[in-house]
Amino acid sequence: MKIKIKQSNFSEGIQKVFSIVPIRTTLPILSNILLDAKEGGLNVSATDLDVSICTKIAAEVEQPGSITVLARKFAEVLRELPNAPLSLESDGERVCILSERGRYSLMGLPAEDFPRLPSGVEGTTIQPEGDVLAEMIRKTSFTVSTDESRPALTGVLFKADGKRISIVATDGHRLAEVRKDLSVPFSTFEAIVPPKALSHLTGLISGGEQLKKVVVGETYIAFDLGETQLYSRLIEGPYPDIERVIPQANEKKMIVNNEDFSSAVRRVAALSDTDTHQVCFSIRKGTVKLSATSQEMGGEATEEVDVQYDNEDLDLGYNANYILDILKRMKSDEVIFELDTPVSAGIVKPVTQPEDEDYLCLIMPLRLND
Amino acid sequence: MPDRIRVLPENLVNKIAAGEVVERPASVVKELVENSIDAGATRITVEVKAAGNSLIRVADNGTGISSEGAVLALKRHATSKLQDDSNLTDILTLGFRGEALPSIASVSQLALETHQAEDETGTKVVAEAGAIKDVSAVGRDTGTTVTVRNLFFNTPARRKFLKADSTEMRHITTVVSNLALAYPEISFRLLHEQRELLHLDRHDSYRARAEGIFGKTLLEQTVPLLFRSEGTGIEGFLGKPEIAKTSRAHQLFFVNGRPITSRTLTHAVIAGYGTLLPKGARPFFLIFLHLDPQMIDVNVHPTKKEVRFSKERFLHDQLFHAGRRSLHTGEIIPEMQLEEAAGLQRLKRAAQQTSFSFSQAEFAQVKVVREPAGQEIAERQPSVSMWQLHQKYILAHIKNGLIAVDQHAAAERVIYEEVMGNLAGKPGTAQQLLFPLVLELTPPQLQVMEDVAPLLELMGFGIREFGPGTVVVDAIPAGLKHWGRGEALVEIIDEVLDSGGVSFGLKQRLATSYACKAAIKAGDKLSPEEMQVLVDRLFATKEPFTCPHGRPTLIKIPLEEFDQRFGR
Ligand SMILES: Nc1ncnc2c1ncn2[C@@H]1O[C@H](COP(=O)(O)OP(=O)(O)OP(=O)(O)O)[C@@H](O)[C@H]1O
Ligand SMILES: [Mg+2]
Repeated sequence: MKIKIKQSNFSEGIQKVFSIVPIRTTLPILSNILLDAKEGGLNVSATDLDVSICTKIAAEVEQPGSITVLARKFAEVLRELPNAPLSLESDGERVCILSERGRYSLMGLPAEDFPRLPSGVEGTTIQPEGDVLAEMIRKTSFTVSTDESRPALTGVLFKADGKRISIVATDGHRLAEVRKDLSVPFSTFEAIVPPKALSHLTGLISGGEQLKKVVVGETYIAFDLGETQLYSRLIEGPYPDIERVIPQANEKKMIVNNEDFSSAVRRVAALSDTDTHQVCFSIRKGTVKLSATSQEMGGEATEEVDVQYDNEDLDLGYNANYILDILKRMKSDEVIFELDTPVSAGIVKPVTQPEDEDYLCLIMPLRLND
Repeated sequence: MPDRIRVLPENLVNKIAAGEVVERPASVVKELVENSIDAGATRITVEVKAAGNSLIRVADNGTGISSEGAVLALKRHATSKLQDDSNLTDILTLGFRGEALPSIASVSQLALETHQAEDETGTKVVAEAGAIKDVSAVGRDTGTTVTVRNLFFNTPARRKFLKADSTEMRHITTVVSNLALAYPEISFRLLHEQRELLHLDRHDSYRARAEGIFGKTLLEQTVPLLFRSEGTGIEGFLGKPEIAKTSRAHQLFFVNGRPITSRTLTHAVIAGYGTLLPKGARPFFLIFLHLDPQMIDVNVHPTKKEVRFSKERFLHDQLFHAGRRSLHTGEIIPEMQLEEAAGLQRLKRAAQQTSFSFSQAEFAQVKVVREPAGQEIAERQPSVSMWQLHQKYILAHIKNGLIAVDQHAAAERVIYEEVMGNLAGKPGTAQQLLFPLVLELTPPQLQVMEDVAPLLELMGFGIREFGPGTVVVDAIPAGLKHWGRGEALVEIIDEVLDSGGVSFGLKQRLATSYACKAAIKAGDKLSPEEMQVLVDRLFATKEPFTCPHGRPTLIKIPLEEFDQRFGR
């Protein structure tokens, strides 16, 4: 292998794949990235076996070839080199970067040993706008479960019914669902995607990468970002039937100013129990009293906030972190809580949301001891 | 054993610690049972009426006494156990003074019936207020029976000092069971008004006998103590810190089969527990010392309650180290001094409870150690140095060395104490579940579930609808991380079931079992913050050095040890 390549292109390309490289692995080759020089450019790939990525970097290929090299050291060297043309050479055993005055050579591992990436995923294709999809993911993926004993919940559900696409995540304590009307209808599908792939996707999109299309297959999902391809294995279902658990008739509605309410919750929560983060909501007509106590620190806090509420008195407890996580994602000045009893699911929604969007979060209360 | 009874010469008599032998009925029982043990009995029956006031009878199948010996035995200073002066330092029998029988006879109506195997007939001697009234031949099996009636009948003043029957009976029971502990190879029975209070079959181990007296469950809560060196054997059972009490606890020493009290030895054992014990807690222990008789002087106390050790300091240290090793299973537990006021309130609290504290200074000069690849090396976490070793142990830098905390054991301790708090009336916070869990239970499981459900509710579980064979769990303790599909709850139920249902120590067992399930496991990766929180919380518990199962939560490796190993 022998190529000419620009340092800035090269380093940028490596950065794109780098965060897929697992930090610790029992399979040493996964700590490497695959460099594959073909006509038209250099393909760089990384994988942790679940999530894989491949990006194409413009280069002048004099002699094609491929090898894998230790990702961390390689990226470090590249990052530090001056922005100037480089040449990259490999004899199949070592990789050598030649700059104007430097020579950096690293031992490699054969390309044949690198796991094959899933090329050409087949299935339903959708073409959402990258920014829109990223925003939908940000609004939901924060509630995924980390409990491996229910694998389905450790992923984010992508679901389409022909007219709408919805993205859902839940850990059994809270749930977030965002639905978006589709301009172009397409067939139905359901896929549970690991959050690692999604956070990588949103990272690429906010880094300026254009999402071309998404292909949802049987066992893989592929995100096509032009020069960069991101693949992820899907998590096996079934996903629980969430429509059944989302209450439709919570009558007690409380409207709060998002900013005022959030900061009050944050203040009160500072003195809440470090384990449960419990904050009590004592909801009365026109006002809610927030309170928290911490035995460990001997702390107590209460604060009253004006709200719009015109129903019977209601006292409930929530994990403040859950509430704050939710409020942070409500892009609306006013937020509505739809509540029922102190032990049943509460719904939180933005008061104003885009016409084609439907976003809600569900939160399970902490039972109050009285 | 030399069996010829003779009266001790004057010079020897004067050397024997004098004093009152018979204080109360229990003293009579003690002396008589000791005589039976000295006589090589394998079966001893003690029978009392009216708490020993009207009757005490001790029967054995020992060697028995010859007919001349039987008369002599009631004389003062007549003994078969001491032959000459030098023997006073070489005593292997419980008796040696020839005081007991005459002392008892002088304050009661006493009958001694005895038969030596080699003699044709047995002998019966009857005495009243010390004076021999009758001597006759009787037919009976080999062995001796001493019957003491109307104790203190001739000293009404003494009689007045006796406590309530129940108290005297308690003393008698204690005397018999204490001696029985030291002689598992002898079977003992104690009857009061025909009622059997003790029935201990012969056994071949201290443990089996102790189980017979204190119960299996209690012995399971002990760690064995075993130590041998030249001239010294130490054997016994040390109660785990969990069963220590603030009130009376059984703390027994036996030196060559003799129950004794000793402040020095008690100190040695307690010191061996070190910081495992909360302040003021008294641990349970039984310790049998086998010492060269030359090393001890039993002739110091009239009722032989105390002995003098010739190398007391040495024995103290041996016992201390042996105890410490057993309790800490070969590992070293930190003993850190109270440093100048640590900043955090909870650390101070922990310090008061356990005389342990990390000072701010100890944590000061530290930085976060992270994966080298992680780019967001956190500067904002100021002063913690903790490393996770094999995702199992937390290593923390302390002033004079290193501690290694077992992350699972530490978390267990923290959760255990929280749960015990919940069960003591500070209910835990319950997180309602979006997907309530349906658990199918077998009838025995269901039975246990019904019994423990109120406790589980206090811990923060929400359990509803005892349907046919199923329960619904719709809330779990808010701190519980790995809930999964609720297997943990079923396992807890099974453990309660296995450990004997819902009777004794249910709360502790529930808390122990839950703590084990809810605690982080070996293999769980912890962030520096999580490590910090765990260690802080551990030191805020009442007993930070052991997990609820009694294993250590942490070990300390002092700097000196590193120095030593590096040959500095
Ligand atoms: N149950 C018994 N079986 C056989 N011999 C006995 C029994 N009880 C007493 N004797 C004999 O009677 C003697 C006197 O007993 P006594 O208890 O008065 O004195 P001691 O045991 O020798 O010393 P001490 O006063 O320290 O108990 C003993 O030395 C022993 O020989
Ligand atoms: Mg005696």
